Amino acid sequence: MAPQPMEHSSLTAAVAPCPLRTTAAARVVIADDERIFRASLRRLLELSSSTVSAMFGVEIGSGFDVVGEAGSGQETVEVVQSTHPDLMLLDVCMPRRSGLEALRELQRCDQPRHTIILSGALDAEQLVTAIQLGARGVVRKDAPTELLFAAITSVIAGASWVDQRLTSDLLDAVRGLGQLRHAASALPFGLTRRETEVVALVGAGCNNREIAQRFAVTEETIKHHLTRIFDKVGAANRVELALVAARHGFVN
Amino acid sequence: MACVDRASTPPVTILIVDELQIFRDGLRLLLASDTRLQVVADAAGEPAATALVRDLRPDILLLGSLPSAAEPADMLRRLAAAGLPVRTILLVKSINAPEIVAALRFGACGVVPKDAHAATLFESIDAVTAGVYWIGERVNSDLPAMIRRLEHARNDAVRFGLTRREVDVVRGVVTGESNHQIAVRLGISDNTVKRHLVNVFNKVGASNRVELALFAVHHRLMDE
Repeated sequence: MAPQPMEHSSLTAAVAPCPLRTTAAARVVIADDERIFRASLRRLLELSSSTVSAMFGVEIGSGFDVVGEAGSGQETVEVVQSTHPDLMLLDVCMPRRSGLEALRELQRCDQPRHTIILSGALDAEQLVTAIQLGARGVVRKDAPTELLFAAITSVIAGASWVDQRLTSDLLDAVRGLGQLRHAASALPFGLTRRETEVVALVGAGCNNREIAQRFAVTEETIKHHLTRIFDKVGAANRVELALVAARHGFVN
Repeated sequence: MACVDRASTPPVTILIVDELQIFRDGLRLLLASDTRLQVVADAAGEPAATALVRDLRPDILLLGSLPSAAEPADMLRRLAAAGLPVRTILLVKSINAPEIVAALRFGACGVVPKDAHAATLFESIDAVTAGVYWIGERVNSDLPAMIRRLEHARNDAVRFGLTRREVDVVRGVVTGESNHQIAVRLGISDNTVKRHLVNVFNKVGASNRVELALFAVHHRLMDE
């Protein structure tokens, strides 16, 4: 057989035979609805670590072993349950339950040890949901290949990885969550949660010592709370405060 | 896949164009598993793609999605206008996307859905290299046969028993309109368009809108 012509790119030329692996390769499941994309990604992940190092400048340790593929959310759950992978690369947009639904389902039973979202466009809500459901890496499909390898390696090593182009979305989302929590905790008269609890107990007829015992604090602390509460509510004494508590439904 | 005179057969040279580097790099490796194929270069999109077609004259252009949702059809039109025709296989999300028809009109020879098996991709490359249209996921012997059969037919829609309204619908398919756009243009409901299309598919023996469009273009149904 005649020698094959040389490649222009170093990519194929640099493919080296797989060396013997001394430690176990990370077992990976690829979940994506496009079969040709999965097959291509599998080829990338099955490169030897020396080839990846030469081509992409990333040290991937013992490399990867693709132990399963899934083309839908439903399949993802099944494949993960039967293969127990170290890492799952998960697309969000898939038919028959989305990637995130699969992740939610897996959270109840057999989670892969690590999950990286590998997806096209991703909105802030999906991003936050993925992280809440245990994904520790988020990489956009249009990222450079070396970043995908770096993300996988980091996540397997126990770190987290969010695509830089998504971090401002993520920060905005977190900021939004903070405002939400603040809104939810807005109590009448600007009382804090603890102050509200004190008011409820005053309304229930407890004296300072009983309230202090209930919260395992000193009576002095309760007096301090009450001073602030009188100021905030505009009550002159415990009776007025108890009336306010009753009117605003503080008594439980 | 065996090839007796492999040594004397030059490899099929391929240019990969897709916006995703991860996909391009993986696809390169995938194609490298067939020694008769040689990926000579890859690019995310234009203008690099056009320059590479001009400089390397690849046998096959594998064309996936382009950055900023640019239309593959527009790229093929520009290539053709620049005197750089190249046998192109489109890698598409869905075989029934209206814009695929436009790409076929501007010279694409194959359409492979991205959820096809890798083997399908290899077969499509073989087919298109051999000068045969490849549409869909399986070996599509119907299409070349249909085209051959129909080459002997007269160029009139009546020959295929199409009504005037059906020809109106086919015209929309050829120009890349969606069912809804056709419905709006003709002032009928989406469902009526679908019903017309089913009838047309049956009459001309097409199984999807891409085949139908090829058929129509081939037979100059639109020239009536």
